[in-house]
Amino acid sequence: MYKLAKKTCIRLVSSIAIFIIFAYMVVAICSIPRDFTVSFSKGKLISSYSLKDISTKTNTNITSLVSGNLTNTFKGKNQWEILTEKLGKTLILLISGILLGIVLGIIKGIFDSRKGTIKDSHYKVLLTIIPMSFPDLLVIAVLQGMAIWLSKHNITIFKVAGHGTINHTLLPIIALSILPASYIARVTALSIESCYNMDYVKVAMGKGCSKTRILWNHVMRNALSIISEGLSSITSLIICNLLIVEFMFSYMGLAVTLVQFCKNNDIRGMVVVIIILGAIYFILDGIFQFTKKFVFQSLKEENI
Amino acid sequence: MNNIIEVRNLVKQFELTSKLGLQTHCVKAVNGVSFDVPEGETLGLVGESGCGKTTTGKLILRLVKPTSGEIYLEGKDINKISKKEMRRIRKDIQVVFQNPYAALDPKMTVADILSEPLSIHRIVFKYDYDKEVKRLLNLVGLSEKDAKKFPHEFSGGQRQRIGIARAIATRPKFIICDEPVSALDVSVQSQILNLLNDLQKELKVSYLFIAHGLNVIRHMSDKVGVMYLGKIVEIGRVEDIFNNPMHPYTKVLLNSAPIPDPTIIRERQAIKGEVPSPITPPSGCSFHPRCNIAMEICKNKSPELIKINEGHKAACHFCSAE
Amino acid sequence: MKGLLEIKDLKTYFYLDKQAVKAVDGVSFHINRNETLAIVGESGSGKSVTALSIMRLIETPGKIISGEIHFNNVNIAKLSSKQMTMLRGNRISMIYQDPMQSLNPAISVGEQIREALIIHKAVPRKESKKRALELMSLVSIPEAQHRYKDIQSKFSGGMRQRIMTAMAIACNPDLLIADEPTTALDVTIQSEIMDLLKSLKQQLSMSMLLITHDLGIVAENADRVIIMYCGKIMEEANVRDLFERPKHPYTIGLMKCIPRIQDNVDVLYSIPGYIPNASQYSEACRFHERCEKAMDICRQKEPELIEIEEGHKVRCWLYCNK
Repeated sequence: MYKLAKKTCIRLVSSIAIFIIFAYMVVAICSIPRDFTVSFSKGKLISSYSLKDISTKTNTNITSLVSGNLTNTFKGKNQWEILTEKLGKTLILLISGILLGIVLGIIKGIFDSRKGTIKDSHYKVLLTIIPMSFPDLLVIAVLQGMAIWLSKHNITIFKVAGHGTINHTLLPIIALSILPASYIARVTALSIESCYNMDYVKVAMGKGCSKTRILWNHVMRNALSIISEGLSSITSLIICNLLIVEFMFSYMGLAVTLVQFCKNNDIRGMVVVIIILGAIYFILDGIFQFTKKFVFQSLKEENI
Repeated sequence: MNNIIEVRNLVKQFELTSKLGLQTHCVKAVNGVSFDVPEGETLGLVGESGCGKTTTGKLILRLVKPTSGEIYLEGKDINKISKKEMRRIRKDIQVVFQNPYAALDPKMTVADILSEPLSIHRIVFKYDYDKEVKRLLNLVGLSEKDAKKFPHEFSGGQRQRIGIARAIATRPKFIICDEPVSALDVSVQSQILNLLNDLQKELKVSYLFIAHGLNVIRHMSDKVGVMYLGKIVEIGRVEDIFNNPMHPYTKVLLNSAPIPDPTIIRERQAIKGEVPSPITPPSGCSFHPRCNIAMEICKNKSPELIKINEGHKAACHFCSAE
Repeated sequence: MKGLLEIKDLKTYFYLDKQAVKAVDGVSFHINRNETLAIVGESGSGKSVTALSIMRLIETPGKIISGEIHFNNVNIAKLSSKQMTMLRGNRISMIYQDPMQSLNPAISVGEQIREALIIHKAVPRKESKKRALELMSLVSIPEAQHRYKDIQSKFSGGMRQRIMTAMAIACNPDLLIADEPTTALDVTIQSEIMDLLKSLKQQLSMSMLLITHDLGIVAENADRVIIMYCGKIMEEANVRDLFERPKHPYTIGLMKCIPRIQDNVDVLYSIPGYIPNASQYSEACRFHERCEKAMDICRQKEPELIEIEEGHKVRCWLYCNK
């Protein structure tokens, strides 16, 4: 018991320490003024602002942040409400995007792994990998073009841009989920194929199990534990894509607010948004690690 | 006669933590093992899975560090020497592994595999490598044409011959054979066993022969040690063990090999239960739950090795010296 | 149509890199009701592939090229895959070689046994758990109630093999195929498992196809024996005739190779040479390169399988009357 408590304490303390260092670095970087330049004269490197200047500025920003004065742009009591509202919108996008990505990915992965001829499997793999190499701008432009074409035929489920109703969230969620879906599809296909090579599948076939039963009852249960290890990689993918997706769809979430603060040179606001996004990443990552360890724990063998 | 290897009270303990880190178990894989291997002779170690025989082999090779105990190679304690000196001593102790399909690097030709030990330990000059490789291949019954091939072009028996050639390349004094024929076909097993015997006579090398089949041990060994749950329960010359087994476990092992003759009906000695897990070994004598002559004393007191006659010892409360 | 299972001229080839590996090359035999037939062979002999062909579990790149497999008067080689799925685990069942890998680590063992009952609707769903517990007691798994929910890692090798046996006999099959059921187990557990199979066979009136390379197990458990080499049957006889009067040089060689506990010979008999490459068989007898008694005709043409005594067949030119 003691060892477990000691281990958890160390883990907690180190995560908090990392978070604090991360926060400080974010404030420091954001506090660097716009006209910061580095020039080379008389054989030495000279910067327009010295390190001391920057650190004084960082400390001022930190004090004013801590005192509750979060942004310049939305002054007054509204700042909390507005930030929370935007956080809510972003979270809807993120979580739905992750879930849709996982579901689509697993389905595509199962489809990929059905043993056909070798030629078939090449095409299937290509179809999975190609979306990974599309730039997000292209994907978004295609989706928006498709929405416009559909609306010309009077199908108005998908709204091209903006925010406010559920319909406005549909296209951004799809755009966010494509890249993680193809990644998870690849991981799923490989883990299913590796599970099919195991002896217990042969035994299940010898018992007279149908192919569907083998896939769902025998293979997927073992493949899921391998897939869960790939989940934490997609969190970073999605948060990076968030900025582009929200901006292109004019979806008023946190990322667009970040861009606004940047334009207005609102340093404290930028810092707050970045730290919130960082916190989301850490929390999501923690949830995935927890799932991996405790939900799929029983599938790991004890080897002596 | 001199002893090449002397092992005294070797203990190896592994620590296992459970999944949540809540409990630590101590597994005594090897629990106080002592034996001698005389020069030019073979000691056979026999036992079932979990008895610690493979771990003992790894401890002598110093692939694993012992928790306590001494290992003497020609009188020198190899546990106490530096890593640099150990690397020099490695040419005297070699190993032949069980799985011929996994023991050879698939990207190296046979000539590479055999010249590697020659170059590490500087056995011969560089320009003599080809000649030495040819000599080694001939010793194990392969031809020099095989030197340029890769391991996957050979069958299991031939790969094991390459493994043996690699072991004798450094002209060792002692070779540990870890179940070298278990993974081979019956018709090839006898070829390899004959080869090992011939090499022993020719090169005067000693073997520690680890196996789980008593028939193979009989053919190869001069001395036999029977292991159970990390301890040696009986040790002696091969004729003593096979003609006059004292420990109940040895008797069961001898009895359990099926006889290839349908007219003979074996009197089966029923042995209760399964090998207990080394995490929770039984109290007292570790064999008592499965023994058919177990008494109260066996549950409480762990028996010491009692001398039966010269060179023959057994660890049982009910065997007496002759 | 003789007996329960009759195989006529079965050929299963594997197509690798445009070469055909003739794993089973024209095999014919039959199994009667309540009989144990043992197939003995080494690696490459095609014994496991024969069993998998009977179960129709051969997948690309392998294929059953030709032949008939008559089971209960139905040619199962021609059945659709759906019909075959209804037969597997129900009327024909198989026990596999490596019990350590053969159970699903994510599902409890009780559920895996129950699955066999549910798929084939042998008992109503509500009673399937009770029947699964009965099966666990039948194969002597202690404390079946408590252990029903355990996963496979909590069982030892012998116990896992018992669980596999329970899964296989769940629906009272007519034919049980045991593919080297004891090779991966400890010596003391081997005889327990073979005894269990023997008693189950009698209780449930099953026939058994026992695949092994251990002649000792054959002597104690089989009624009739087939010796396979390189995809063909070399000799077929009942067990007494085979051990008292073996005819084929390969059979004689195999029996001489085994080191026995009773013997104390210096040099073991060994069959010279190696098993030939399965994709490069020629017109000659497949054993001629390793045969002590090879004649000219052996190098040119392959002999037929001829019945020389009642129930005793050999494929060898030594016994063909010209």
